[in-house]
Amino acid sequence: MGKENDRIKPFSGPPEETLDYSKLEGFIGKSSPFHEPHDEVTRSDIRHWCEVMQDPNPMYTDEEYAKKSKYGGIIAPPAMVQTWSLDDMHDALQRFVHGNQPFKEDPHNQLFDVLDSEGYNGVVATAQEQTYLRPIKPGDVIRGKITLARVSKYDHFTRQGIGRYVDILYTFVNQHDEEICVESFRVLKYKPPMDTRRLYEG
Amino acid sequence: MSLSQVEEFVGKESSVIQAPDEVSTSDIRHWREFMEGKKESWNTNIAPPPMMLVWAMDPLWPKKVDATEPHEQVLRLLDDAGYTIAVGIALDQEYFEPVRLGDQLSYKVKVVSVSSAEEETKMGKGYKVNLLYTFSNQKGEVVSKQSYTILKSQMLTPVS
Amino acid sequence: MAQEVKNVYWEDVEVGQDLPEKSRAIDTTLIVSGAIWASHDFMPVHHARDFAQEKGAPDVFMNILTSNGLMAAYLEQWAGSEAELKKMNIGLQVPNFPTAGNKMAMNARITKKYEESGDHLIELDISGDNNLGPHIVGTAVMALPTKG
Repeated sequence: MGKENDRIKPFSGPPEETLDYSKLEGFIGKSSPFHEPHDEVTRSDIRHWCEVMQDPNPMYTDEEYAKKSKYGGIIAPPAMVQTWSLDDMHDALQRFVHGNQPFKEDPHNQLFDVLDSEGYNGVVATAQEQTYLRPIKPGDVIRGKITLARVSKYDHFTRQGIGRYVDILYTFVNQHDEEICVESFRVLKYKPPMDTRRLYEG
Repeated sequence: MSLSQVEEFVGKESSVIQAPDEVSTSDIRHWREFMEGKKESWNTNIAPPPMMLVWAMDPLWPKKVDATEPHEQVLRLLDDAGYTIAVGIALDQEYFEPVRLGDQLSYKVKVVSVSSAEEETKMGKGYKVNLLYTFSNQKGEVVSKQSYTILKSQMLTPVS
Repeated sequence: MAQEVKNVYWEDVEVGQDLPEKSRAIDTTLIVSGAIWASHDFMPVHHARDFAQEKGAPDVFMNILTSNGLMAAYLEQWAGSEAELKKMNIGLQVPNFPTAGNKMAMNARITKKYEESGDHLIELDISGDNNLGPHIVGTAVMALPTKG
């Protein structure tokens, strides 16, 4: 390549080489084992959620009221289901700040590692669908497993930058192995630094 | 500000205030993880004693609208006089009984003293408010007494 | 804090009906407490401004569980304590940033009314819009109590 090529570039340059899908394909359809939650479900967890959401529903916080309902006691807001499956503080900071994945052997984490190493190390959740099957009660132990469903074959150009979408499926069960929720979750793994401030500031 | 109004509340104690939650495994574990780092297993049967004031924190919502208790009134009078920043500058905790999983705590707050004039502190000028918290469990046992000093200031100007 | 919530009955709602709009101010307290306190999400983009900016965002922004939770609470508060949320399906567009004066206006419209395995259900289109545009677009399914 001559010096001229550095100085004068064609308007539409040759496409950049991007991540080859074959590096990702092998993880599709694979599942993690069920992981134990950081905490059992407690009334204080439920109160914290309801206060942030400003949800006065007595089913969630008023034991006397809830006793008379068909559940026979307090239940957790169904949208809370994923709360107990997220990393504890230590693991989250290891994962997001120090690049040290917990549960490295899980297929979705292996895939995220590949994406990270290819420069797609930003992550943002973009869509979620939860179907609630059974109520969650204080004292429940909610375990979750993750199945890798789909990854973009090519790059997407998004507000966040260049990225690949990853669809994962969660299955949540309680201590009786009853399914309480199934969820599909879409994250965008994108390439920072991409200063998106200009996009949002108008 | 009208200091005479503040003085009315010195020596007065609040009514009994219930903690918003019973002591739970998640509250204890969250504190322990934060303070002690990650562990394979956690003792969630007994709460770390320094945690006590966690159960005296006001709910995030709904916001309490009336400052009815003596300590709340003192702090509000100082707010109204422009001393809007509050910073804890001293805490002296004494523990008598363990706080166990499932305990339902309650507490009272007494206004012990308030500066009679603006004082110079290392944090800046302001009024010191000294409060005495008395925590009890559901059996009526006093589990802890805590002397808590708050500096109410117009502006923090820390000096070393 | 618990209080009686008025129930909405399945017989009384109809397709095309709009729920009253409700807004929630989006500030740093809501974003941080939603992530850490309510949903136990310690991803630093939801609580550490420096980290978020390093990753290319102008500020911390709301995590999806909080967005979902706010919409769920909006629906439940309209429907009352005997309603049951069956399904939430949301897509996120522009993020919820704690810019001064920012708020999310939540809306919903009933699009379907049906019975299925003993439940009396409604489906709704839901949306949450902030100062930049649509934050959440999605659908929800709820079971409502009946008068019978």
